[in-house]
Amino acid sequence: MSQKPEFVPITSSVSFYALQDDKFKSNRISIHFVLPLREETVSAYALVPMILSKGYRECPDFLSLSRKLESLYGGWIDAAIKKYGDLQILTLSAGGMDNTFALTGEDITGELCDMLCNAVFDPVLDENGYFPETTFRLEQQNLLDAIASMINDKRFYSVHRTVQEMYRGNAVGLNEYGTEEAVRALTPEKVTEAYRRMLAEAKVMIQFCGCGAPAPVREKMAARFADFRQAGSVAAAPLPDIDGREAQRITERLEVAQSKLVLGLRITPDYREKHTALRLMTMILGGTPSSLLFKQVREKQSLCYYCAARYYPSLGMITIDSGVEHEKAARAEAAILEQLSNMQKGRFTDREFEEARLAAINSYRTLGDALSSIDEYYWGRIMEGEIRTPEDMIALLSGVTRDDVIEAANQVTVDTVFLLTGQEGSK
Amino acid sequence: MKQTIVKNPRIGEQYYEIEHDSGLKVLCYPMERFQSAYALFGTRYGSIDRIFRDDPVKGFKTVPDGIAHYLEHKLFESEEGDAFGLFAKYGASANAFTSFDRTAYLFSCTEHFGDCLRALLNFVQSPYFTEENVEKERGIIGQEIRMYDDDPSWQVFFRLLGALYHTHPVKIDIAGTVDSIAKITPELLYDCYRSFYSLDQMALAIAGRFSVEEALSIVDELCLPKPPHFLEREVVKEPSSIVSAYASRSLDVALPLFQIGWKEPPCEGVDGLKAETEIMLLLSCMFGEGSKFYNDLRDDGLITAGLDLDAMWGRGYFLSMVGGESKDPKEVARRVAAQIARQKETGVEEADFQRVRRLLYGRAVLSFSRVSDVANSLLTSSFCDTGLFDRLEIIAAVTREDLIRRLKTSFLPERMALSAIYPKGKS
Repeated sequence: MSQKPEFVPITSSVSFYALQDDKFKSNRISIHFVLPLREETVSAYALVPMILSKGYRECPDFLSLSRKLESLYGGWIDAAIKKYGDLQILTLSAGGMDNTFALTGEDITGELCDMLCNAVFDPVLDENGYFPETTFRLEQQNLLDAIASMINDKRFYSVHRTVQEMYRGNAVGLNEYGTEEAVRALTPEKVTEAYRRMLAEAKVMIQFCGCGAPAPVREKMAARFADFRQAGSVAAAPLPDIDGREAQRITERLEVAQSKLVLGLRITPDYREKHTALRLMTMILGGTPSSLLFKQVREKQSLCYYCAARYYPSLGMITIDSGVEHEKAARAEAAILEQLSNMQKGRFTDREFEEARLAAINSYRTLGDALSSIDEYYWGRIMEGEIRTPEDMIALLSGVTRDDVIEAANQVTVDTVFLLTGQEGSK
Repeated sequence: MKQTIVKNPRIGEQYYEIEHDSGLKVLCYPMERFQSAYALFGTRYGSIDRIFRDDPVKGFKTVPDGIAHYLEHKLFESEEGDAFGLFAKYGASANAFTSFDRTAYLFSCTEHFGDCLRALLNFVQSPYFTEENVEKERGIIGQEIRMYDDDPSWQVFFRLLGALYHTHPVKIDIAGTVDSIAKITPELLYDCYRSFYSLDQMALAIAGRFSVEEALSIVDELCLPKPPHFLEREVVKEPSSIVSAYASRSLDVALPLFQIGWKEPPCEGVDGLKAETEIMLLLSCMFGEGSKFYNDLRDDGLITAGLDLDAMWGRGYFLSMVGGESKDPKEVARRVAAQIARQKETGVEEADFQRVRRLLYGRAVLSFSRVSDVANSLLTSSFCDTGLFDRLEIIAAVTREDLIRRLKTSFLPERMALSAIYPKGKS
């Protein structure tokens, strides 16, 4: 079974978490900068890790950086922008094959750690101390393309739009990349300023995960982050209260062959912390091929290829989404609502309850088998503020009763019904 | 029963290859430090197997497009209900997939491995097709087809296949069309089942935490030797020329998507793997992130995200591909063609060769890190008639001269096609 990550504070605002497991063949190091998610700063912050991950003073362009990484057996440096409630998280990470497998004895992990730190602390700046115009323009376009391309994946786009509409007017509903207009209005000066603010104000969490020894990485990080002592703490604010309003209905039209129907369910504010019951309820409703939605909406009524429910603890919501024929969208919605109502009335069998619990336990047990999933799992726990192991989660799941699940189902309400459908009159 | 242990001292790992008396090939790769076991039971039957005969004195018959995939869906249903339920009671997850030349059924579990393996071997060997259950599936698969109709990556890929192949069924969508699946009947499904699901066509690949002994005793119990079954697939006569150098369509996408492909001479077995490896090395060398070409394209604003480099092969087809998103796919294709012409003149530089070889070596080592990846690679290597460690050894042994030789015979300009998906109204 997987052990708990070792936690070592580097300074008052920098924490280091290490998980070593020698069954893996690689290592990954992530530096997370946690900042408030705000409309006025979201786009400038989003661009920062994208620029930093493309080169630093010793490796000033993407060509030299890529060649160095390829020579390190396909090592990588990556940027990610995520949100957690009303927080924006900028992540720079590096990873690659462990030193043990190097053909000529290279210190791959040490090199990658240095490269990652250089990307954070030693970026390429022009004579005025700003990110160079050319790098800025390329990454600005990259970010614009990323925002525009969200529409390519219609399922993802529809769920994203549902979240946005549920929390319209609130930081939680913001896209972690910001908007096209905001990205267009950026300049190298504004983004460099955001970079400096990130270094000055962010809370920093560093994660190491892999088969290599964490100590050398921790020492390098301790030296580079020694001066980081940001005052105050950055923690997600309670989610906004959207309780009590009428369900809203949003329809968007595109030339699509299949409609995407998404139901956004809000959770009663006082109940949002009951993660385990909510998670299990979502699994029974639509988390597995044995769930009510899969069995009834897909298998019995043949209305769709997929119909699934997903729980988003950091957003205090659940989504149910399905891809259906345009003219059957209303039938699918009615069928989904019927299953939700069945959950609320306790109309699910003991077997369905137990199978969902077993499926959840199985997925927790399997987490430790992949570096990326265990890394991502502990990242979620770090953000929640309590480092629970997968075994702790299994113990919690084991304590959930049918009544807890029925109670959880009665704490959710349809808030938003989003439909992406074809042009009027289209088949 | 014949058992061989295949070892690789380079990464210190091994697996068991068993020729079972039933004709079934069994591949077992124990990974004891992992929590989960992952098993695939597959057959050499995919969407390209549309014309065949099961009696040497009778003529060839043609079955409706998409039937292998339809069969995959229907095998999941037994007289007692759907097969998902068999695994759900053990907390295991099950799934299946159909590709051009194979169909596989799989499960992942952390407990009750023996029960799960029994369930897998049983349900795949117990077809149950009725008018009613076959009819019910039509709506579900119809929606799966519609979902792919809206998927730009899928569409750009199949347009490329259509541009490269005249008659080879690789150009036909794996799920078929709404019209072709309308012709599928229980009798046709039984017919295909009898022809393609005999154990001598099949393989069982297992990786992770499990007992090889237990697995083999279950195989002994449930996979019984049967009289040999006659099967002959029609050999497709495919000219070496391509159909068209250009194919396009429009969809609701933000930026145009493109895929450039070359029709390569088909080759199979270890020769196919060697060709694939050398082509991947050449693609990385010419168009990878460490190439000047890639960085020029990026600096000139023709691409913002990465390029996808790939090679794909099977019975009677082999293609190399470069794909991505660009505001001007035709200009990218023009430059790609020019780069290839230049590279054919200059050959491959030693520094580039060493760099891309390390890149692919690193990737190959890391492909042994995940239980699911290892099990999938085992099945692939079995159906491609190669060994699991062959790729790693080919990369370790390949020379610059091999690449120069391959460059002469591959990427021929007259066998190159561009497929593009443009945003609506911009085609």
